[in-house]
Amino acid sequence: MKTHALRIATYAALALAACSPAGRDEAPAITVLAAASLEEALAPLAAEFGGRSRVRIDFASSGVLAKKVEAGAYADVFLSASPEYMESLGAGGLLLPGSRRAILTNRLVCVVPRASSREFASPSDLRAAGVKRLALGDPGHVPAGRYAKEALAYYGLWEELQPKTLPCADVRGALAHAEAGTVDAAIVYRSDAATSDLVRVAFTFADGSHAPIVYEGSVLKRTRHREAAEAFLAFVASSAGAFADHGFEPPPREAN
Amino acid sequence: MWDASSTEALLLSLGVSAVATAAAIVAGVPLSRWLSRRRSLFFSSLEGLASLPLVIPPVVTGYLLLVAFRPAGVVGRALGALGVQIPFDWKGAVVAAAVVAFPLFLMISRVAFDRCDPRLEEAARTLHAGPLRVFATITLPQALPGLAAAAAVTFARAFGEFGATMMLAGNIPGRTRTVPQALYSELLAGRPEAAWGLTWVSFAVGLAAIMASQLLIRKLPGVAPPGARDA
Repeated sequence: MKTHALRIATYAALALAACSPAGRDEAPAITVLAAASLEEALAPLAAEFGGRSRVRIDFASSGVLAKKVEAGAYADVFLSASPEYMESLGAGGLLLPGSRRAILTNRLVCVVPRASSREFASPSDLRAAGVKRLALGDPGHVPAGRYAKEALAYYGLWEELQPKTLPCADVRGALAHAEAGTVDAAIVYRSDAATSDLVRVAFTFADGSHAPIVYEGSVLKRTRHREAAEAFLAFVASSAGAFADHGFEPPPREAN
Repeated sequence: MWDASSTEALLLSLGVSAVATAAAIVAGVPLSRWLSRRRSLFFSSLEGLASLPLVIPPVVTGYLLLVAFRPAGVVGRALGALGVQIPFDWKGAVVAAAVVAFPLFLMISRVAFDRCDPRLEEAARTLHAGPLRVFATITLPQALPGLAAAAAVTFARAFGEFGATMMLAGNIPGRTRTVPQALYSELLAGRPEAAWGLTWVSFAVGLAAIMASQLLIRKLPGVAPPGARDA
């Protein structure tokens, strides 16, 4: 039994070694920083692209990823859930000029645990006494949280609802609380809601209630694999169909 | 470097750590006295179980606590009937800090009781002192410096608790945003300068607790350096 386990470990180590960049010098490995909300949709695409270049993806909140880039971390491509971080990186001269583009749009929704019997006709129903806790991304650094705060403020609800909010480290944290039933509702992207069988969408925020949710991508200035990075970004931007299955929409035409 | 929200976070953290330490003392003193000088598989597994939060990732501890304490959870349902809500409340921060810091209290206080001279207890018993009186007048005075050291380290660990607190209590400004969570939020929001004040406070609390515990442990029977013994 022990030798068997040892043998498996050896094979695993060999398999890992075979995957190392040294074994495939023709295809460079590119490093992609991507917003946490892209995980389910992007991971299979990256695997599909893997025939051309290996892709390593670091998923986290866009604010955290932008911080990493500013701090000097190496990466080839950045996919942000908000144009705001692209602006600041662009102003800092960290983006490859001309490579920045809109790739997707998303919608903001309110979800409730699937088992919950609660129905909301409009955002103001969140004021109900039965809604004790509302999870959202931390508006301090999570784009989904900023949009949520903006939308609630648009309906004049932010001041009243803020004491009930549970700010989470990223949008997936907010979703996880709704899935676990530890909160009564959560404000997340429609694409997040689409990843989960444990929640259902109670309502979608109207378009005008918050700034358009545009995902942008850019090659980073410090890339050492410019061609592969540009090819990956073009591949992602042309995969609207794959993203649509995950609740995303293609960007408006004029943004392209 | 310092504003009203820093004060708020500091006061919350001091309060939460104090209550968590008090809880660790209440539960830990009897438990460590009971575990002291017992060396069977049963007792080591019991001590191991209570010490687990020291080594498993605090986020996991926090998640398990959240599952237990949520309104539909095993403990949450019982507490809900009493009108007590633990998750996303300062009480949740206390529970998280107490569970994560408890193993440190247990380890140090058990050693403190191990160091007590059993012959003195024996002598007291031959003079017909009851178990409570033996504990209060013979055992406790010998172990007290060690228990105080345990409390100091427990307080410091509770003060620094982050992962489990975030899961169970959340990071709600003015309600459950403790010093470590305030630091985290300031850094992520791109205001590192706002984090320095709280960083220095964290250093000070940690250093004070460690130094106090070192001084106290030297007062335990059999730990003092040879020269200090005669004094």
